[in-house]
Amino acid sequence: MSKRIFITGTGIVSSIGNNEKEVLESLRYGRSGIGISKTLQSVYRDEIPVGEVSLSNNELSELAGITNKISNSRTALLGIIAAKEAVTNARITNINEFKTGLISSTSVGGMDRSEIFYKDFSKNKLKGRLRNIATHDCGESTQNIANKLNLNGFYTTISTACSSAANAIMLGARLIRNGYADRIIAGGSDALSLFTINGFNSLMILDRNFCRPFDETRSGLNIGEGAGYVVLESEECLNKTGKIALAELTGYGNACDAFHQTASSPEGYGAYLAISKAFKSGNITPEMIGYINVHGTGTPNNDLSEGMALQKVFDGKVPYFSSTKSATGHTLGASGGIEAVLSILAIRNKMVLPSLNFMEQMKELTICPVKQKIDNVEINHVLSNSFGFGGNNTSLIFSKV
Amino acid sequence: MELYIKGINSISPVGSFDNIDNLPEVKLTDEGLKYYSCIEPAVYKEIINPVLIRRMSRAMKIGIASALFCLKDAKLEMPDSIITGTGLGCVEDSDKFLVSLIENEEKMLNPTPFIQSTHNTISSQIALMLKCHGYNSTYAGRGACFETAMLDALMLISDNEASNVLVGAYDELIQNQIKILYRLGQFRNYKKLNNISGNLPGEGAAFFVLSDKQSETDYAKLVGMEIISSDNYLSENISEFLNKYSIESKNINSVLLGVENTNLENSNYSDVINLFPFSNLLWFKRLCGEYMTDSAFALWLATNILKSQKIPENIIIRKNNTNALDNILIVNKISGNQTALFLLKK
Repeated sequence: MSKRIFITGTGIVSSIGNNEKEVLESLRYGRSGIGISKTLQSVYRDEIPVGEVSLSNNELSELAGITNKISNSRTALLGIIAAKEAVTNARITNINEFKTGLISSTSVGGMDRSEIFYKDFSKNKLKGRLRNIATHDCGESTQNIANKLNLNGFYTTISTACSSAANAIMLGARLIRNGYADRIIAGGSDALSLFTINGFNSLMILDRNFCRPFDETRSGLNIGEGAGYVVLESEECLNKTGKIALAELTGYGNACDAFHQTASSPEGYGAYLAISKAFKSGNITPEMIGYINVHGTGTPNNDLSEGMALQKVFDGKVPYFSSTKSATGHTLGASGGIEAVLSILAIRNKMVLPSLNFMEQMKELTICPVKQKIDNVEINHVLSNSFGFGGNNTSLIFSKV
Repeated sequence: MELYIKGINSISPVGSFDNIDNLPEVKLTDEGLKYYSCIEPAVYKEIINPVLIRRMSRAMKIGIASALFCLKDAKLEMPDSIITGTGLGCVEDSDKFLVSLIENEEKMLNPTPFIQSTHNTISSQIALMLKCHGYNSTYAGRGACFETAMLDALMLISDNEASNVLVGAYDELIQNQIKILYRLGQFRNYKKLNNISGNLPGEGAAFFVLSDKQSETDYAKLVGMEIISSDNYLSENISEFLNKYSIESKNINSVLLGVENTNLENSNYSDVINLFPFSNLLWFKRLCGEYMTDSAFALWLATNILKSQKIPENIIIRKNNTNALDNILIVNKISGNQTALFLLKK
């Protein structure tokens, strides 16, 4: 029997709220955070809607309790806020009391600042403020968050595109099970950037309207930004502190679709493998799952592939499922962390979260997402899917304690 | 748990281990900034499908070729898992996409550099070529990225999730990055060509096949590894690490250090060095330069030394013993104030 992994704290910042309380409120009322950007200045501003966190970098710095406002990337700021909230919620006062580590993930790191640097640098190699390029690598935000948490222990950064944060949580659990840590803060952060907006736009997978996951008329995703972190603790750690866990991480599975660099296999083989592995690792059977927080980006390819995998895994009896990306936008490297927090909120509030903008049943599938929230549902186990470019697929299972 | 290194490969500024006695050439940018660059394989198409090579960046070529050569070396067709570490990922593609979105004011952009800029490009491309559906992950950025990839592999094997893991690291160096690194003061451009400096930007790829099964053809045994996340008490931490593996510091045959040059007194490794008065002191940065995943090059070098039972003259700082060459300790301070330790045995 493997060691049990408990979740004692959660923290989140996203376009539907700057903390867990605000996010829960938005979920309850079916609010969407998708709209015209205020901070990101893209030429597509009026054309391509995004899920932007409502605060400016200055406001985020204040919320993060940072006095030196000039040297942090937006990814780091979002990460600091959510990670601090997770640590506070876990009622951790001395972060170095137990062997504690940080596993953070991001896909673009400090790209928002690299873009500012490159505007000058691309014209003249002697120009561009160096402080704007010093945050370029993916590890900078992780180190920055670790410093702001006063963490002396291990930290590392995962970057597997859109499954990054789910892999961070999985690694955290494995480090605890193997005795390398007692406690791990795991999750991810990604800020909006011209790089990603233009990248996904050049791939022609951005919807010009609100994204419609699992809808017959879906035509792409809305990019979002934000951060989500959970605090994972070993059972011994929990016993020593006498804390009550919020949830348990019971299963995880990572597999590679190995089909195409950006597209998922039509039958969703990688997704099927990741979900099956998660079930096996937690000794959980499909009928035990009460709700699935799907990857559900809203692209024609993902939703078909994921839908096929779900129908196969659940043998036609697919439980309630929804894509919260319809509210938050697709937060890329942060999505697995944000959706872990949302999955745990669903369990604790006995609430199946809604998939916004769904209207028309997909022809290829027999299943459809939950349109409106459903209250008073005893959810014992939630499956959370995160699938990325390169076929990097990871599924997590969160359970009621 | 002990792991056996079954196959290795590296594409680096020094080339193959047979070439190790020839120091790599110091290259110069147009502005006269010094750096090291990889000696690339003469023909990639022997190892990578020629149709795919055309669109690949240099990072992809060196990373993927090194991984495939490594599998060949281990005589392994299909690993159970693939794990990579990279400091800046496919930085040429990131740079290209960034410049083009600025120059073209976000219009009419070619998506290829964007697709290839994601840090997991190489681990997933290898999986795609092999049709490997197993566990696949990538660690990135400053701090312990290659080291975490190794730790991840170790856990997969000890949890019986995998038996053969392909793990490696890659970092390419591009012209814009060299300019930025010098401007950031991470490297200083001395006018005189200093022949023994390792403090130059470098690059490379190195891959390993790790397994729990011992065999005659193994390169070496990885006895233990650790990532220390604080500069304080480094020598105490190293002593503790050695205790854990029941070996005394006086019995460490050779220590391979991440020092920038042979002037040990002025290095930030002086505390570490005092721990090992009887060990040979070696260094590796003169052969590969400095980059975020240079630990992978050090591991490749140490593995080769143990297998060949030969320490190349040009990496010796201090020869303190002529005992049987049966173990090597790697101590490398990595970016982000962490220190990596690897203990290898014959």
